[in-house]
Amino acid sequence: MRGKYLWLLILASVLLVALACAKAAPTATPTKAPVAAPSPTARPAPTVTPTPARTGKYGGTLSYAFSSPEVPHLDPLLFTPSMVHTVVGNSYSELLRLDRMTLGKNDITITPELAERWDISSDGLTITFRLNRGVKFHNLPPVNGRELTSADVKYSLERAAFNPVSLFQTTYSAVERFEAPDPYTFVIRLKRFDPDLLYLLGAHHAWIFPKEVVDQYGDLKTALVGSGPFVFERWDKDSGVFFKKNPDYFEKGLPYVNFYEHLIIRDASARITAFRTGKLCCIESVTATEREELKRTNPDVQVEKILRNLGNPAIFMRYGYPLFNDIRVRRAISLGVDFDATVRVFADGEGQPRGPVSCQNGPQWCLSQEELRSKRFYQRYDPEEAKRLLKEAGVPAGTKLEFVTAGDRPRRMMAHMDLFTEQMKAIGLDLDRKSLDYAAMRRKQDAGDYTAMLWGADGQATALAHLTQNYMTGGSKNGMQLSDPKLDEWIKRISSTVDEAKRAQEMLEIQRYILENVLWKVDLIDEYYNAMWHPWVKGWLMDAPLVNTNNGFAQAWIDR
Amino acid sequence: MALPRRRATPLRAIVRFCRQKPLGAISGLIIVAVVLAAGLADWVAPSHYRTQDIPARLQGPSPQHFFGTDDLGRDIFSRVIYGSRISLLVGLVAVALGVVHGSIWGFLSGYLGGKLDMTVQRLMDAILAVPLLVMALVVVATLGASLFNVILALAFILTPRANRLLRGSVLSARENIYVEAARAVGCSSWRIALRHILPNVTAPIIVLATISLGSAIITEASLSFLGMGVPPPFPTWGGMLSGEGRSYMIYAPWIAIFPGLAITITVLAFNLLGDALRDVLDPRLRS
Amino acid sequence: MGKYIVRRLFLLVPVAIVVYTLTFVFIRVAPGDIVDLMLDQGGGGGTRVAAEKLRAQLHLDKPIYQQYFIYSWGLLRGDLGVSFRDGKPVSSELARRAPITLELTMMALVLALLISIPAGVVSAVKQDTPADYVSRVGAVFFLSMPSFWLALLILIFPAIWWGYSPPVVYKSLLEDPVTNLRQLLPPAFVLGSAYAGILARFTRSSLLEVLRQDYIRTARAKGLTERAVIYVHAMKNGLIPVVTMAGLQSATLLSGAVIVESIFNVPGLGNLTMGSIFQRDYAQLQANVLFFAVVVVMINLLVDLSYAWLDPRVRYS
Repeated sequence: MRGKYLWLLILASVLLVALACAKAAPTATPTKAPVAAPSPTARPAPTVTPTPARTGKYGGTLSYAFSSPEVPHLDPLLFTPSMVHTVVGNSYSELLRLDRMTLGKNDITITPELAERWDISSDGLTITFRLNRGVKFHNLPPVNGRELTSADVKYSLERAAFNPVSLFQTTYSAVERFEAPDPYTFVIRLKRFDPDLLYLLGAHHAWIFPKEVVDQYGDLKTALVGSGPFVFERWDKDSGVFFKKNPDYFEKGLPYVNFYEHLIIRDASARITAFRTGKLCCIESVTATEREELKRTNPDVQVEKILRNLGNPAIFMRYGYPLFNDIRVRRAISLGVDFDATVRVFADGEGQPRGPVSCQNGPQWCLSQEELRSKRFYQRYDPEEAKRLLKEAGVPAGTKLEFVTAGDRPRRMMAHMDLFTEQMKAIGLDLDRKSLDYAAMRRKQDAGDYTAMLWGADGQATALAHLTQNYMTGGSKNGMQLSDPKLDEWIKRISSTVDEAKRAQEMLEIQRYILENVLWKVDLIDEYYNAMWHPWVKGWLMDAPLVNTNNGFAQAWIDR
Repeated sequence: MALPRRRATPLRAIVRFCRQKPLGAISGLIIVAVVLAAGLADWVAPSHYRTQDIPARLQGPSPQHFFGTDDLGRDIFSRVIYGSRISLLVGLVAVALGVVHGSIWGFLSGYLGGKLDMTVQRLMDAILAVPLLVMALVVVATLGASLFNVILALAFILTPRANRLLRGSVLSARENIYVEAARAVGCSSWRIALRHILPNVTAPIIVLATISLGSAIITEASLSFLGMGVPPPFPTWGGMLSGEGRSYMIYAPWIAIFPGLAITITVLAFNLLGDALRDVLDPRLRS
Repeated sequence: MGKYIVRRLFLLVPVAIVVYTLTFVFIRVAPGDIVDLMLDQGGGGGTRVAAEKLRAQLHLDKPIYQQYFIYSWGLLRGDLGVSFRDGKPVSSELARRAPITLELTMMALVLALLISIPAGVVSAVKQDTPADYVSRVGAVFFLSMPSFWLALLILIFPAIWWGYSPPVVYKSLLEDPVTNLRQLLPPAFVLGSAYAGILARFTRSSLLEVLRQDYIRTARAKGLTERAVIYVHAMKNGLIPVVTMAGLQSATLLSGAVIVESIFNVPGLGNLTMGSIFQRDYAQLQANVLFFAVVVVMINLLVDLSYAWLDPRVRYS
């Protein structure tokens, strides 16, 4: 008996160490030279891995709390923010899966999920997937546990790619059509090369759902029937989503727990109190101060730091506003920001300056920290230089500048705005502050109806998608309303570059150009936040921001 | 009896008030102190409300920082002192606007009656029938959060109380014999209204205004707490309790305690003063 | 009496129309709509064409007066519309949430009465003694405290001192009474304490007034004990204004519920309403506000009717 438990313990600790090693190294990465990520076109189809031995304990309930304001509905294609995706991901499956152990590393591994293997034609325009047999939908009406076939994959991806109200059509803009020649074969035919497609099929929103549900309800806003590890039970917009174990899950032996509760606790202090008192197994979005305090009262809690690369503060200057037309003014504003103080206040000292794009799919797509803060760019604190530039541009000290921020969320944006206001005052810009609620901010930004704003930076699943959506003319997240033909041309060129190393090179080059000559948006920092769990929770593979597939509790078990 | 007698000087009236209503007097003193703090904040506060000291963030109460520091290292004591300005300003202006606006319509409504009365009263019913904060939030979401808009929103939701009071007073006063007499003598309706009814309702209006100040200050604080109040950099008590501070409160409870205490004490003072004034001014309640 | 009730109920119509119209217009004039939020940061980048399609589905592309016409037509047929968020009828969401808020406010009311009536009676009977002062200042103190602040304190300090926090998953009273009470008692106390402050003051002043009446003097003169005078004679009439206040201030209680529910994570109407404002769920907001208005007006009617029951001199015709 004893030996058995010891063995379990060793296994658990190995797992934890592996977990910690996989994602914990926060600031050490920048020195590494960009390493080419495996090109999707070149990747050999992995063979089916044998079902690993299940060593966890079965049973129990895991409760996890969520910081988002609510889960408004359950249709992932009608909502882009992560709050819907991470929730429904507990019940849905995708063709491919991104290996969580490799996320944030240079080598991101795309692994099979519903697809058993896949082949890419030599021209890169046809991708053929072989599906696993015997995958069943949940035993819920109207499908009652029928088998998932390629027709479901075709239907689901077509809804994402071609349905006029799908918010993810741009993701599939390279797709010519989807085909399902037989129940276990699925083919994607492309119009043109798309470097991101396989990655995106493994990130969020490429969920596979049964047609019958959409036919019955018209959309997926209230129904959730998939083939994932957890079966949907019920949902309250503002208190949580509740799941039970899927006994027929195709990864045999998983999940371990009987119930999974995805709770929403808006108030940060209430959420942390609930975790501290053991009512929650795990939480995320914990700040450094909160973490230290939690470790003081609960010394055995486990921590993992994760770089969050969306929603952090960025300065948006509206393209074409006369004052900002002079590049010196934009540069001065960037130079006036004390990035270290920003990290201290916004991220409790744990964060790093951020470049113009978010590089979720690997650091090779982004400039290194050293380069970002080099003398060449304006991502450094130099108020004297900033004042000089403003003077040169003929902007008198004390010039008024209207600046809007959201008052209700995300949290700490207002504190950051307080800090930023003082920094701008020091270089001679007097900010006239307005606050709006979140929805109003969205509208103003989307319509270009503002002068300048401090607000959360957008994030996309890949660096290229981020660049396209944020900097292309008419891009869906181009909040500064930028329209620069040179950039447009350049981004198109990058998107069609098949050679991965060359593409990465071009990505870095365009970011250098943006940092020097564009600067209509100044991204400030990325924050490390903490995911924490009690020591009795084992095997949790938490989500990385922007991958948003699910909360990673399929492999988790309770040991107490 | 507590009302100043004929030829009583204001000073004697105050002395009398203090003797009869010690609680009211203490409240009055607190209000004077808050008003002085607001007015003399530049001299009273140890540091400026905007002065940030990042290395000294989240420090507990000490002789340097009586109330501790917040997440930007700002002195909470100074910010509480400066914060009184917004609370008082918003409270006073919103109540003044609300009372004047409500009174005018209440007066017209009561005096003219008929269709106007009907319309105005249904409007007031409607405003009263929606939770205060919901109404305020909707108005601020529509107009945008700014000092002026917050005042406007509060004035809007404070209108019905004054309206009801005025209308009621006018209705009962209209029936009074002295008004009948005035009419018999041949005074014009407006003259009757202004000369005879208005002086009669000033006392209840003063009481109402004092008590409304309390709820105006609380609603303003609630809006700021929800991030929809007067925007920074100027500190507000409710704003100090919201967003940023909230994530640190378990570890730095002083962030939560002092601004809330400031609101409570100020509102308490206005409420107690209102009570005392009512006892003194409202003849029906005199013992 | 019946005529009076009918007349009062008839007055509900214009109030409902005004409330509905005000909310309808205000929230639509507010910048930003639900589609803006559906296209928020993160994710794949929705297209503007899809956004316009989604707006069209919700009639958001039409001028406000046309939307008003569409909704009014629905309202006339008893259809409040569907939630902009999940597409479910807003009435079913209302029906699900209302009992939770009802339970919370009832608990608050009971707590408030339990605190306020004894305090108010002591205050009135022992007028101008230290007991009176303590009780009065205490009452005013509680009603001067912003509810969100008291809520924060109640959440923070038990956590700091005893590591206690209320249960996080809402359970209904029928499902799990103990959990339910542990969840709802703290917010009910926050709501009830301010309310107790109001009611205690009114209990005191109304009892004082009654104690000065002639019939009390008569009762005393008959040689009844002070206890009998207060509990048998004074209390019944002294309660009228207290009940009145309970009705007139019901909007206050609901107003408090809005913020308290969201801090304590109670999935009630207040929480739903607040979410509907920030999430721009127009249909849900309109329905909730309409519901609030009807409830408040009905409560006021009940209060006026209870006058007649408590005080035989009051007659409605």
